Amino acid sequence: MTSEQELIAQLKNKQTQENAFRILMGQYKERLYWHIRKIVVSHADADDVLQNTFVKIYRNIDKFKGESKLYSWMYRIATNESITFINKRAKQNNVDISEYQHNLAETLQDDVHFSGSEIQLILQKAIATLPEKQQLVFKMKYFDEMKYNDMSEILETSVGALKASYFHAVKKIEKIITAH
Amino acid sequence: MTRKELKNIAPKLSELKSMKTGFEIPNGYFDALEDKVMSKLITEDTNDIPEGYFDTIEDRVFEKIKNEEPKVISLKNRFVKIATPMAIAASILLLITLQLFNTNQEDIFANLETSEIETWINNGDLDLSTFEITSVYSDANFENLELYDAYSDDDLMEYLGDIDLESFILTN
Repeated sequence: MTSEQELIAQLKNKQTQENAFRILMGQYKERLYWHIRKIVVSHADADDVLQNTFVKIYRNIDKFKGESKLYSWMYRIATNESITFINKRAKQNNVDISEYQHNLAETLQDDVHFSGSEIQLILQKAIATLPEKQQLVFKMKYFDEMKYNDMSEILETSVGALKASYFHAVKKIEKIITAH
Repeated sequence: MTRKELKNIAPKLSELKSMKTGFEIPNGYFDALEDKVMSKLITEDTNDIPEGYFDTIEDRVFEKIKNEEPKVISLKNRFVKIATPMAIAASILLLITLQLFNTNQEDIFANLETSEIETWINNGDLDLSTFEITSVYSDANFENLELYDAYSDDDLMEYLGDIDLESFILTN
């Protein structure tokens, strides 16, 4: 039995559940946080979504059948929670999701938890112009250098479609940042 | 896409790749995360309904119905409760009806002088649409109306000179 399978077994056992869950959080909190942060942008929102993600993982661990890697399953939950979160926020602000993300990028320079240079700000604004799915693909590949096979499991999209999506995203962003 | 490919397709993006996102986190943020999540789980559990609550709800409702003694309401009290508001409502309705029928509309119009009616019409207070007029005078023949006298030949020529003939044909 691998350490991941052992951990899953402990997570499903009521007596060992809490301790195993603390171990799981310790292993994945930073990776999941940065994945979420790149989608929702602000630290406060990322903190909210990360906690909700872990709560969902804890509540649904019995439904995890091991058909994909635990890591992919958790990333999928984190991605869905982040997308649901920004959709909800956009709805609350009476704007569509692309306008909401554009506004987020525009106000990023005032964020106390952002210390990026001007070119990093331009890059964030350029990413915000992409369609939602393309943004996800770009962030996962460009910043996290995630493998296409893992991305395919998380986003439930074929490797070919992901490669095409990343290629288009790169071309668009390069055009925007070169113009500045 | 390899680094080399990225450099070929997007040299500027490739240059920026070594830089971080610029996002920061408060000091010690990750240290307290496990405790925050665990206390969130406990808070949610406390607010949750007890296990199996919905499995037994039907039985508990029927038990409550059986145990409740039927209330005995006196017929006299029941009649007074219903009849009082009904009597008040009927009195108000009767009062309004009597007031309305007391006013004789015919008397008002009979007392009006013809000159008063004429003045009212001349002032433009009689606002009738063509539809209203035709619905009252259904047998009137409007074809015999001599409208052509209303405009002189000069007026018509001036009007035709002002309009753009092409747009006039298109719109008509």
